[in-house]
Amino acid sequence: MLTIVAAALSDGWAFVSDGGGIRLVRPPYTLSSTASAPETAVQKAVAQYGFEAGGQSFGTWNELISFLRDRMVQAYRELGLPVPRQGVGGEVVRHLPLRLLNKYLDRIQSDLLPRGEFDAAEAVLADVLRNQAVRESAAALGRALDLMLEARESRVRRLQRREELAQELTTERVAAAFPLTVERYSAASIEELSESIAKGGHILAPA
Amino acid sequence: MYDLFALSAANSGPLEERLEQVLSQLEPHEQAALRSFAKAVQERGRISLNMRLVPLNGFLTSGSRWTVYEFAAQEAAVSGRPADEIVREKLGPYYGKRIAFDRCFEGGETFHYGNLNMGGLGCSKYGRFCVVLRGDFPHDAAGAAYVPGDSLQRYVSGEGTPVVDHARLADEVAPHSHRGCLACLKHSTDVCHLAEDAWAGCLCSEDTFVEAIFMERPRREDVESVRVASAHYEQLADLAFDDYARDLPEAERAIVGHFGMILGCLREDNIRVEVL
Repeated sequence: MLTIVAAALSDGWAFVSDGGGIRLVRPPYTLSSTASAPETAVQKAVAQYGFEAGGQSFGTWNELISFLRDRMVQAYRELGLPVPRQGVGGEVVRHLPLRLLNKYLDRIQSDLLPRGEFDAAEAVLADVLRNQAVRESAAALGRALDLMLEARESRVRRLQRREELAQELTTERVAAAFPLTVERYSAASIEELSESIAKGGHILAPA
Repeated sequence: MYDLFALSAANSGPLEERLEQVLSQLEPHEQAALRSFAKAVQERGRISLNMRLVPLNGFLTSGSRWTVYEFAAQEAAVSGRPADEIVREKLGPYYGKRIAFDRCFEGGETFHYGNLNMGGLGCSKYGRFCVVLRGDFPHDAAGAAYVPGDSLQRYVSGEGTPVVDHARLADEVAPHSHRGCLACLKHSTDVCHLAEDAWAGCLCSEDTFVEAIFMERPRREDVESVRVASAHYEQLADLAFDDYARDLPEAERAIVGHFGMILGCLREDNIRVEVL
């Protein structure tokens, strides 16, 4: 049985007794983000640091963490703040130091662009370019602009390649490449399915 | 009922005498190290407050920090419940000790608590952001006192009817002018053997601290800097990055939302962010 002995629910922090001792649990709820804590730390947390005495019990860590996450969101709403939508990170990016922005640029180059996530890459770059530190660094500004161009060009290249593939995919070519498929399903039905996928943008038909 | 700050002022002489006595038993190089430590604490020591994202955001947004009694009074005004009942509910089993200590001193319910800090992240198990107040805080130095550790744990005992050991407190408490002296007495055996760059960690860390008790409510304009561990800062920045590429759960979005507001306020007020 896991019992919250004290918690700062708006932050998702809790001192939790697992029967054998007390652990401090806090986001991001990884093993490295937890720490054992003496009873005196719980007293100090409640007496001076805004934690509130707890009492809620849970059968598993998953249930407990799920509760903490829910309460964090609830507290955010209770503060009168709208639940943040995608893009809330923009405010963070505008104030980050150059060292971390360069890390962002590395991740755009190594993660987002190779995965074809051009919308995400362009959105990050737009906020990066609003950052004053980037504007004041010729190197970072140049690199961000290069990546923006690379994102645009990669997007165009990908669209062109798709169009080329679509043009290459004639009934004759499909029949030559997949004779058994054509024999079983007929060229007309394959063509019909291709058109449906092209229009719908997905392979699985909606239920 | 006692006047904590009068007790601290009255203890300045005895603290000095005790320090001289300790120094007289040390080798000259140890004496020199301890005197340098006292001077460093006196000159570079600041009051720091560890905060989590939401309290820090609230502090920067509202401009000031509230005690548990003030929160309870606000809640009582809205709900109609007695404020004391709300305080009792918030403090749970620690209500007795907190109340016993605070009601033992004049103005005890308006006390604010922090740590004496001259570098480092403070007691980050209560909050990962270490808010460092300016060197001229508190503006009225007579309204600040320092004790060598956690005041509740050190001076309040007994569960049913907790008792405050005010004699021990009167013996240990230091006024603002003697915080360096108090820190020296606390660390007289270890500071001499430490390199100077380890002094800050010796004065204030997760497990050891000199507690500051003060009357003046800290305000946003009193903040000199906010310190945060590099690993945590990067973790929050990574979360903000992830927000662009994937559908973050609402809890993570709330974290990113608070972090963004905090960075915005710090920038607006020209408060330095120290990433350690």
